[in-house]
Amino acid sequence: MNETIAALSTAPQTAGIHVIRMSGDDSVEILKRVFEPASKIESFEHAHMYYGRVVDNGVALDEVYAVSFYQPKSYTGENVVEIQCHGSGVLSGEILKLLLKNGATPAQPGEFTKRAYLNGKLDLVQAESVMDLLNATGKAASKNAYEQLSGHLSERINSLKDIFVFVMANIDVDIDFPEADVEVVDRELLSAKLCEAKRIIDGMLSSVDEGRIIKEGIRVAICGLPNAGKSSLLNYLIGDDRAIVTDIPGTTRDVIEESVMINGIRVRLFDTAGLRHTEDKIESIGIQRTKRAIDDGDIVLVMIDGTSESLGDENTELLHSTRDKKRIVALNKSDADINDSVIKDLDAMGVEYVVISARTGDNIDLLKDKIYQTVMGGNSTESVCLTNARQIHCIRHSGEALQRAMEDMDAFMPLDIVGIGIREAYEGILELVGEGIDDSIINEIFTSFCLGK
Amino acid sequence: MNIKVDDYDVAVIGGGHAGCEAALATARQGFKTALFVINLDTIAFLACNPSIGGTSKGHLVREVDALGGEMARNADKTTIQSRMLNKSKGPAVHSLRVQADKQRYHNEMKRVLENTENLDVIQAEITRVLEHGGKVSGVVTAMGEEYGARAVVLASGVYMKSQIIIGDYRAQTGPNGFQRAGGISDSLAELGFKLRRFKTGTPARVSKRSVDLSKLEPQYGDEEMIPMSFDNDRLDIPQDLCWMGYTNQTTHDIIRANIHRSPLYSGAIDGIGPRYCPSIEDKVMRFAERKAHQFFLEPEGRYTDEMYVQGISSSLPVDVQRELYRSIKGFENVKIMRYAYAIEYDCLDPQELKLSLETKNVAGFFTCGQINGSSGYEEAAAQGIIAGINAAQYIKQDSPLIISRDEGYVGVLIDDLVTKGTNEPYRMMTSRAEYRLLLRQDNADGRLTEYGRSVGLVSDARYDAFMRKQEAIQREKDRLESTSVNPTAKLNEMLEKLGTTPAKKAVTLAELIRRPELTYKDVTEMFPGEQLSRQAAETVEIDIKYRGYIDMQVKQADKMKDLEERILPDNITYGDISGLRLEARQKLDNVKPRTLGQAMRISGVSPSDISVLMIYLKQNRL
Repeated sequence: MNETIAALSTAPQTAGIHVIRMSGDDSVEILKRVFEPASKIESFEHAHMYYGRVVDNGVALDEVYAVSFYQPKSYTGENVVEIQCHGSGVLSGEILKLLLKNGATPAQPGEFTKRAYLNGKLDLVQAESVMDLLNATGKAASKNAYEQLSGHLSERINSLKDIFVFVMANIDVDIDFPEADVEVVDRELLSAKLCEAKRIIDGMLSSVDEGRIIKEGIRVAICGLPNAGKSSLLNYLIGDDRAIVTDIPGTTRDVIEESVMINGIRVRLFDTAGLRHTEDKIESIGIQRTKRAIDDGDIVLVMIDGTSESLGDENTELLHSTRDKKRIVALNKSDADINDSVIKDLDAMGVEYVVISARTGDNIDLLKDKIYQTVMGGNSTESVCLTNARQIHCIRHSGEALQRAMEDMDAFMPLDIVGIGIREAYEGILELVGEGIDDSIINEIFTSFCLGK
Repeated sequence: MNIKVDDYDVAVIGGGHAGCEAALATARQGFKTALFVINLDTIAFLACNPSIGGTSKGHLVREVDALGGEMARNADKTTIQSRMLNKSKGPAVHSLRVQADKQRYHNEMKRVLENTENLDVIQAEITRVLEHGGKVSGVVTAMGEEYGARAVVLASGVYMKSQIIIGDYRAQTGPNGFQRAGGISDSLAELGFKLRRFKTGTPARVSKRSVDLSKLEPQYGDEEMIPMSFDNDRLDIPQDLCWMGYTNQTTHDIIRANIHRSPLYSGAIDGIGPRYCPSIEDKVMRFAERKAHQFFLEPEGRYTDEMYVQGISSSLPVDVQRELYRSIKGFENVKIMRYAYAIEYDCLDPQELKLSLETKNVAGFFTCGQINGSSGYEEAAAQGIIAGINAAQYIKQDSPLIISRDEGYVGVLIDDLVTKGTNEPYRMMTSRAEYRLLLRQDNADGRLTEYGRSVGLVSDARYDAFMRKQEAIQREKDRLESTSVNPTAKLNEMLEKLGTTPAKKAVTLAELIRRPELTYKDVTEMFPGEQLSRQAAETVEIDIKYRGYIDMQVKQADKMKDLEERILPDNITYGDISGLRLEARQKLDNVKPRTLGQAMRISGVSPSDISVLMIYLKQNRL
């Protein structure tokens, strides 16, 4: 029985498509669990491509093509499934996570090639280079395991390790030295320690989960002075006249929401009422909502009318009040003449901006890219995402084992039974950081307890 | 020139707990065996504490028993107190420990050896191991007599160039003043073995008459004595008492005031001592905040006044020892009969061994017991029987018996020693076993009897009894899993009386047993099946009650199986495999693992190195 492995097979950079590959006995089974074909099919035929959606708990993650290759007629010689999705790292990362949740395990570096070799799919001449590749990737992987974890994360992982070692050492002392006069194991203390571990794990899972972005989309609040062109931009992006566009300032009195797909990510655009000081009651309610939309947004898109005589106090204030948010500044109306004094004012404030025309569509692709880059933090998210899939898998596994152990603890199961789950949880963490089981429990026993005949 | 005296199939050097099991194993398989002992009065001598078993050690004794060894039977013959430890804890860690009568333990084991076919017991110090063409060929005694042997098992314990240390005092002797083995170390070095220096210690023996027992707390044996050996279903003999007490601030002050006279602290001892068996000076210095340390007073035997003071071993000078022992409540007038001492000895690096316990250097040459860096009688006996079995397999040119980590503590013990090596005397601990719910003391027979049977160490009578027991266990487990009962008023009334919730729908008997409040006994009293022996009932209850956890550990063990079954040939030159990292090449070359699974446990070998090895194997069609 071959474990089914999964990984992103294309380069992790943003691209037209990404390909996620699975290999192993269960790959087609796992595909069936997550894939909803557009039209009803009997089975996945060999080397046939099917169009459909990847669905997680009723929520569609992406529209994809899926293709299955049955052993031995595949790259690895095992059952292979390839899923082509939109080329966003977050998206392929989510799909990968879903596959792991449904029974796949993350592929080790070079593992597809290794399996291909072991199943006789590559010739002997290639063996040496495969081994070198494994060696190199293995080195990189083990080196990376820790380095990729941010300082904060590795701190939390270290506290987890400490807790597990502490609890296991207490249990083992209790078992191994039943007559020694070491302090009787305090179940309540151990329970408290396990709760602490659970909190850490839950915190890690919630912080690394970008699922919300996939399922709920990125929230972009478009704001700016009245008539800066916010609604025009929205209309251009969605291609219809959803928002009322007039040249009477203050036409958009409510927050209008529309969503578009950018690089495979749903982007929810919130067109807001123009932010200006007003006495109009209805408009001021709209402005309240705008402020809230800005606060709730993942990104704030500040639109500035480039044809204004100067930047002006209100724009300055707006830029000032949004400076701590993830922000993109668009200087609109490049189809008309952009006023140099606006540019000078922006430069003086040190604000970066994109010059666009919401009317003609000039530079809108650049703006889209900016939105995508800003929400992804601008780094190549995919490689992080791939490791994240592994990390999340390990942490989730560890959390589940811990959960069982805590239930056993509450049910007053014997401590050595409780210890089975804790050990499993501990091993999950060790796997996460690329360490093997070591002597730390035994070392802890002899460091902390005075024992012996 | 040596005088050739005789030829044997197997020569066993050393008559301690390892040597006895090894010699019995080869002789019982029909191989002409000589057991050389430096002094026949040291056979199966309990040099330290007068007890057998304990946590995970009790498991080892049961495993030796299941394989057809002698230790459990000998303990049952000579026990004077028995306790099942950890009874309040989970089933994986129930552990049997008995106080044994030291003199009788020796006498009974000696008698068994003397009455075993094919076995000659000879008093002699072996000073040389002979090798010819890479194979062991015999041994030579200090008196210049040569014995030919097709296989040799070295079980010299702590006797090699041993030295006893008490303060400034040094004696070139083995334990308890017995003659040491001064010559064989050099012969081993000549054969290419690296020798190391380990250290251990033992407390004083005091006169029971001189202790005010009323100031100590008596420790009783279990009401129902559980035998060690699967041969015996019950034991019914009168039991002796042990006592418990504490050291105090005065004791610790005396130690602190004299710590400069301790050879451990003055640097006079270079040997590496075990952390789990610290001397009292170690405990006081390392755990300064502790106001008292517990100790136990245990009889050395039924016919002697000597008592063993478990917990207060020391290598302080005798005057300090007298003072510190007398500072203990109840010990005000204590008379020390034998002083506590530390002992230093030569031992081997177990990484020079294969998992069969044959040395990698010299074919047919096996080593077992404390010489391999372990400590404890039980660890020694477990290695002894494996070395004996495999010495016989070697002569038969059969493949060696290797117990895996999910089959026995003996497998964990040997794999740990051989694969990871050890930097201190190695003690078995439950925390070293990954699958401890599978490795219980109650099911050691189920795990290992077939192996013992396959090499001829389990008699027909015993094997029949074993099979009957296993079948009864299976029948009863099937009955419990398949019999379901309706939630009648009568059932629910009984359930409530037993402190558990009523059943809402039909439940199986197994499901009832899995309820924390209910036991196998409760359920079978309501729904009786066939009458099972105490031993069989114990296994049925645990297997049913903890089935979910057991299944989980079986699954974990199975994950490792694939790698454990991939054999790495002896002749791989790891240095030539370019894909391996340098560290991995060196480590693999040093350990020469037998399987990929073993290779993975070597520290410094990474998962990607294992991948490289898999490809190498495939590439070379190995």
